[in-house]
Amino acid sequence: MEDLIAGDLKIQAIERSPTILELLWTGKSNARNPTAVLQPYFSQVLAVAMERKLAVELHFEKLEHFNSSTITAIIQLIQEARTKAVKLTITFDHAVKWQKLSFDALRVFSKGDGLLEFRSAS
Amino acid sequence: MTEAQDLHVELQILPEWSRIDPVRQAVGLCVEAVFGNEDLRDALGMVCAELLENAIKYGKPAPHKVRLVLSNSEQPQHHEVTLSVINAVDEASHHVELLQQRIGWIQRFDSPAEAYMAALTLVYERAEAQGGEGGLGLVRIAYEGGCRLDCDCPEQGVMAVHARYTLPRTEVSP
Repeated sequence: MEDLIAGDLKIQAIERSPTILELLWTGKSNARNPTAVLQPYFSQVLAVAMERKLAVELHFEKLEHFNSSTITAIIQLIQEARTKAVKLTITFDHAVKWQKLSFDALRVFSKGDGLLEFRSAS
Repeated sequence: MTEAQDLHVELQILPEWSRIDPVRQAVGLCVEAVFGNEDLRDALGMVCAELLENAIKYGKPAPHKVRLVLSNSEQPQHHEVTLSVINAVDEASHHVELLQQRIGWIQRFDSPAEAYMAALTLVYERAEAQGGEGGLGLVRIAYEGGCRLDCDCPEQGVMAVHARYTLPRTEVSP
């Protein structure tokens, strides 16, 4: 799986173990239409995860900022991953207030099916 | 100088996407310098970016400029920090009405958090059908930014959106 570099955003794809694909977000996601870049990348990630039976971990701890259009793209990823039965884990830094507020709110999409989990990094 | 913390910044920028992030950072750093509060730096930086994104998406293009005013008024128990973004709009545009409707929608909920959860759920439900726009900007300003919102038209063809943050004195570093 290749990394994504788009403007100020970098997503590094790392296969940490034979069952987990990590996506490490760094920089800033502030494009006018981030979905145009993120959605094709996420589709590729989910295709790889399905084919190789990998869980996907999204790491946002080092991300400096994202705009609300990026939140929309992440929600679309959550929706698509659930449809394809790919497990997602979202890891964030709960000591950073904006991260805690943003990602705690996404817990609304945890539906008790074990396909979406959240982890606080600090 | 009579006030312990005084903040007044006015900027005028071209409505170009690349200008948003430097302004977000600058606003955040000004807020941190005056109030010594990193959470408020991030929150008002985000608010600034979301308001500028809207102004650039829906306002008139260059050579019309976008004006940003960041100010503080000191009250006995708190500071009220106001961030206003003022931009030219097409006179036939319905953007002001749409903004007012969206602000009214947010205010119908018991809290900004409830409004935000409802907005997230709507984005999820229509995720398959739609592209990049989720309409989360304003409700994120209310929830994550902790701001009250209002908008008006100071003159014909000009609109202003104001985000107001109440900062208790106990959260200000001397």
